[in-house]
Formats: sequence, structure tokens, C-alpha cells
Amino acid sequence: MYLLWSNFNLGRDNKIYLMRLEMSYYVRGKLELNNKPLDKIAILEFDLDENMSCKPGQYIMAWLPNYGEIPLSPSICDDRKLQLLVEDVGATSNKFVNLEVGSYAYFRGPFGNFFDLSRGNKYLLVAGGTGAAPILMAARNLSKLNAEVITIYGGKSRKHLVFLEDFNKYSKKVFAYTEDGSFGYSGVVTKDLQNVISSFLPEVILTTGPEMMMRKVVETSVRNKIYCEASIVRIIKCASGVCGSCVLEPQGLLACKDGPVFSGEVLINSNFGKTMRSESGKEVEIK
Amino acid sequence: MELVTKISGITLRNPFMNASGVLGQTVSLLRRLQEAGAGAVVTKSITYEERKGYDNPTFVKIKCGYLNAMGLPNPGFKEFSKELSSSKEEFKVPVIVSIAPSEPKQAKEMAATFKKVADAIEINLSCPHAEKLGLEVFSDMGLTENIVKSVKDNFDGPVFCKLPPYRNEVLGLIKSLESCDALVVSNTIRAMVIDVKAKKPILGNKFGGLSGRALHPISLALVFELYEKTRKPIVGVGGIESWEDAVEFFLAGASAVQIGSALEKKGTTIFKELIEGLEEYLKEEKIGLEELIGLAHDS
Ligand SMILES: Cc1cc2nc3c(=O)[nH]c(=O)nc-3n(C[C@H](O)[C@H](O)[C@H](O)COP(=O)(O)OP(=O)(O)OC[C@H]3O[C@@H](n4cnc5c(N)ncnc54)[C@H](O)[C@@H]3O)c2cc1C
Ligand SMILES: Cc1cc2nc3c(=O)[nH]c(=O)nc-3n(C[C@H](O)[C@H](O)[C@H](O)COP(=O)(O)O)c2cc1C
Ligand code: FES
Repeated sequence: MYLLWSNFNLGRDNKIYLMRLEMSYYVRGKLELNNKPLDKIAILEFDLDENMSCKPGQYIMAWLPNYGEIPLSPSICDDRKLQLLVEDVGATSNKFVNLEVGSYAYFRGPFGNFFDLSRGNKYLLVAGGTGAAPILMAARNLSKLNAEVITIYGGKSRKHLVFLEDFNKYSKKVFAYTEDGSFGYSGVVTKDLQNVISSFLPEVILTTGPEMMMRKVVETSVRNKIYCEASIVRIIKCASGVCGSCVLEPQGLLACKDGPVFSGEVLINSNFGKTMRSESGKEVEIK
Repeated sequence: MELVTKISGITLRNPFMNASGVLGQTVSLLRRLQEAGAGAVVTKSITYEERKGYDNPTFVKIKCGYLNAMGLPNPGFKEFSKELSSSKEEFKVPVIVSIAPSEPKQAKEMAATFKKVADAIEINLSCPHAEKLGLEVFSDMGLTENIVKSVKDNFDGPVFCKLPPYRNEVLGLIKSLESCDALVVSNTIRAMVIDVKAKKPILGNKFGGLSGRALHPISLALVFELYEKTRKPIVGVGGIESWEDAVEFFLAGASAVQIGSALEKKGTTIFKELIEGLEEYLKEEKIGLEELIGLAHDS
């Protein structure tokens, strides 16, 4: 392939297209908007030099030279627009959350698999905190497919529900939960999950959020015999299925390549919600 | 056709194993490799202390292969040997433990600890981007000799040494490897990639190791040369993506081969593909694997 395109004058766009197929190719993005509803959470909007397109649940690797590169699941990644919801939990995410408008970041991908949006017509979406981004993309795409969408959306406070207006736009109904009771129902996302399932009878449940919350959603779905998918977080290094850092056990599945979206059946038989590997590969408990 | 091969007393059901650092981090992954058909499984290089590895980006695909600077992340030998001991019975194929000691005392302790769970030990003398480990050890002849001896003295099974692809260094230092049983040829080449828009090296560690397609002819040449210059069995590694790539290594003198980067492109199904391709080839050429080894050499 390389020999082919390097020997002919293909024009710039075709050349870039082929390069992106065969090498890690970073697309540069200029930060257009940094909306920070809270100190440690930002919605970032980038204008990309070139087109990138991501399906709901897929992730991109976001690189800030001299700081690091982290996996993020976009809420919008289409054409030349990229929207990310980032929570400051450490060195690199801190830099992203505090990035100044006009600064550049670099993105490669998309990587991994994605949510199955063609499994039925009635979807229940369960989103917790900063995990909401890929679920929002799923909601938008499902509404385009005319699916019936009900969303349960939870966070620490009203301010944490950064995508509430968007979810309202794409869902038939949104059940909002806040831990401090500042908005909607008081409590955690999973509080009334069984009731919502019983009255709405969804065909499919999709979820992202803190792992313990997702474990509950998965257990409830499996118990109700409803097909469920969750996008999980593990330490992503190579993003290519070689380094083993993102392993889901005991199956030896790789979150970066076989995932990050896994079915409830797979997750319920794994260490999901129990243990994971740290950056060194040591087994650590999930709190 | 029979694909069984032997290296320094250990028997493999076929000559294909994973390369160290590629899917050998945990027992669950080693098990997945065994189920996919690997003839032996090789662990990530384990160090004395726990290592987090380098910052991302750690792995990038380039036009002629891959660059990685993982930085030898591993939980340290005590933790890893615990994990391996608790599931050793699950392995029907030989388990080769890769270790990266930086001095003889560490080598001794690690060899003694892995004695019960490893069928062979592979000493990483060739990681091109870790301070006081791998290649930095190899550049010191006396140190290498003592490390290899310490492992040999404290381990009952065969001891392999994994070498860098640099011909002159390897030939210059080959004497320090006298006490080892087999050579693994080769590790990656120190390399770099720069992003033209960011105008910075991409890898977090700036430097990394080049693997994949570009490495294949380089490792192959070294295997060929070492086959004539030493009497030790050789395990060939570097850019194997198809059975033809592997057969070249057998013809050059390798008794077995390891697959690294190709697992990115083809996943673990590559083992089945290699086994079937080799079987077919041996049948068509009416030749046994054993006869094939070193056949490219005159006389
Ligand atoms: C598929 C996927 C999608 C994600 N999408 C989002 C998103 O949309 N928004 C968002 O805010 N976060 C997302 N994350 C989590 C995000 O990648 C981590 O918070 C980030 O990598 C932390 O890096 P750091 O340098 O800021 O923190 P560090 O100081 O390095 O670590 C802080 C904690 O973050 C976690 N972490 C560290 N490195 C990684 C890594 N390479 N991969 C995964 N987790 C890591 C660890 O649990 C660690 O304890 C996603 C993770 C995955 C795997
Ligand atoms: C992601 C990655 C991690 C690696 N880690 C190690 C390691 O821990 N120890 C080691 O001896 N070699 C390591 N290597 C080198 C490989 O074992 C192998 O020698 C090299 O990649 C060449 O083979 P390939 O072209 O088939 O990938 C690593 C290579 C890659 C790509
Ligand atoms: S991050 Fe390396 S295998 Fe998944």
C-alpha cells in the first residue's frame, strides 16, 4: 500500500486518507470553546484541521505534547467538530480541563468498538457523571433512527448534569437524579432503575459512568433478561491490543480493542466492578 | 506434518510463540495465547521492582512498522511470581518467563523465585529505552556475563538471552553469553517519530523501539550470521506477519520464532494462520521442520 501511494501523485486529500489507514495519524484541533460549569469539569469544543468521525462508544486518544495522551469518548465527533467532556482526575486531564481557547491538541483514532444501535426500538440509557458523553452521542443517533429513548441521568449536583438540555432534546423522557438533591430525584442513578425497567420495558439498555454504578445496571439488566451494553474504563496505553494493560479478566479480553463496549453477559462473568490492573499491571480493587 | 520443535531440552507443540511484552502481562492473557494455539508463551519482561512504565503516547504505528516505549511496566517479580504460581497447572505449553535484571544479585533472586513456575527463563539484554536495564546492561560485558551466570546457577531449566539487532555490538560481546543455552534474536531498534504539526517527538519517552516489518530483514541477517558463529539454538523474532516470514527465519537457522507486533494487525488468530501455512508448506516441499532449520546455509 505504501509503495503504491508514495510512487504516484495522488493529491493531498487522497494521500492523507491512505496515510490514516496505515499509520497513527494525529489530527490537530484548535480549542474553540471551553465551558467549565465546575472547577474540575469542562466541555471542550475543537475545530479540527481534518475530518474525524466516531461512532457512539468509540474513543479517541487525545494528546497534549509534553503532557500526555489519554483516551476520551467524544459526545460529538463528526466532520471537523469534536466535543469532549473531561473531568480533571490527574496530570493530563487537568491540562485538558484548563486548556485555553485557541490552544492546540492532537487526536488519533477512532479506536475500539461501539454501542449496538440496531438491536431494537426501545432503548433505556443510563448515564452517570462524566461518563455521559458517549451516551449523549448514542441518544442523538438513536433519535435520528426514530428509536424510542428513555434516559436516566445522574450526578453529584445539578451543575454536574452538564448535558441535561441535550438529553431532553433526544429522549422521550429524562429521569434526573442528584446526590445532593439539588435537582430532580434525590439519590443515585440506579435508585429506581428496576421501576423504570418494569414500566418502560426497554429492549436494550446502554450505560456509562462510574464502574460500581455500571455493575449495578448490568446486574439489573441481566436479572431482567434485557440485552445490555456498557462502555468500560481501563488503563489504556497502546490502544492497539498489544500491551495488555487494559485486560478484562478472566477472559483476557482487551478493553482497547475488543471493547470498550462489552455486553452485560461478558461483564457479569468478569472482574468488572471488582478488580482491574494498575499502570504497572498489578491487580487492584475497584472502589 | 509434525510441527514439534525442541530448544535446549524444552519441547514445543509448534514453533510459534508470542514475543515478550506482547500479550504476556497477565495469566489471563497467557492463557488466551495458549488457547489461540501458541507453542509456548512468553511473559512480559519482569523487573526486580514494580514499574509503572512511561507516559503515553507509548505505541504508534508508522509506515514501516511500529514504535513503542512502554517503559517495561510490570508489577515486580514478587507480585508476578505469585500470580503465575497460583495458575501454573493451567498451562499445557511451556511458560517462558522474561526477566530484566540490572545486576547479578537481582538476577539470582529472580531466577530462584521463578524456578518453580518457569520452563525457561529469557533474559532481556536488549530493551533499547530503559535506564540501567536491557541494552544498558548488555553494553557492559562483565555485568552481562555475571547476570547470565547468576541466572544459570539458580535455575534448573534452559536460559535464553534476548539480544539487540545491532550486529557489531552482538558479535563483540557474544563471549559474555557463553553460559546461556539459546539466543533470542532480536529486540527492537532504537528509533523516533516526530509529528509534523505538533513539531515534537510523539512518544512520551521521545525514543522508542522499532518493531514490525522493517525489523524483519535486519533480525534475519543477524540470525543467519549467529547460526554460523555460535552453536546455540536460536529463536527468531522481528516483523513476522505471515508463515513465509517465519519460514525465512527457520531457513536462516532459527529453531522457533516469536510474534510481536503482528498481533496488532491480526490478533491472536495469527497463530492458527501460521500453523496452517507452515504445515501446508512442509507438505508441499516434502520436508520436515527439523531439516528446514538452517537450510539456507551452504553445506
Ligand atoms: C474508553 C475510555 C473512554 C474515556 N472517556 C472519558 C471521557 O469522555 N471523559 C473523561 O473525563 N474521561 C474519560 N476516560 C477516562 C480518562 O481517560 C482518564 O481519566 C484519564 O486517562 C486520566 O489521565 P490523567 O493523566 O489525567 O490522570 P492520572 O494521574 O494519570 O490518573 C488518574 C486516574 O485516572 C485513571 N487513568 C489514568 N491513565 C489512564 C488511561 N491511560 N486510561 C484510562 N484511565 C486512566 C486511573 O484510574 C488513575 O487512577 C475514558 C477512559 C477510557 C478507557
Ligand atoms: C508493545 C511492545 C512491548 C514490548 N515489550 C518487551 C519486553 O517487555 N521485553 C522484551 O524483551 N521485548 C519487548 N518487546 C520487543 C518484542 O518482544 C520483539 O522483540 C519486537 O517487537 C520485535 O518483534 P515484532 O517485530 O514481531 O514485534 C516489546 C515490543 C512491543 C511492540
Ligand atoms: S491498551 Fe494496550 S492492550 Fe489495550
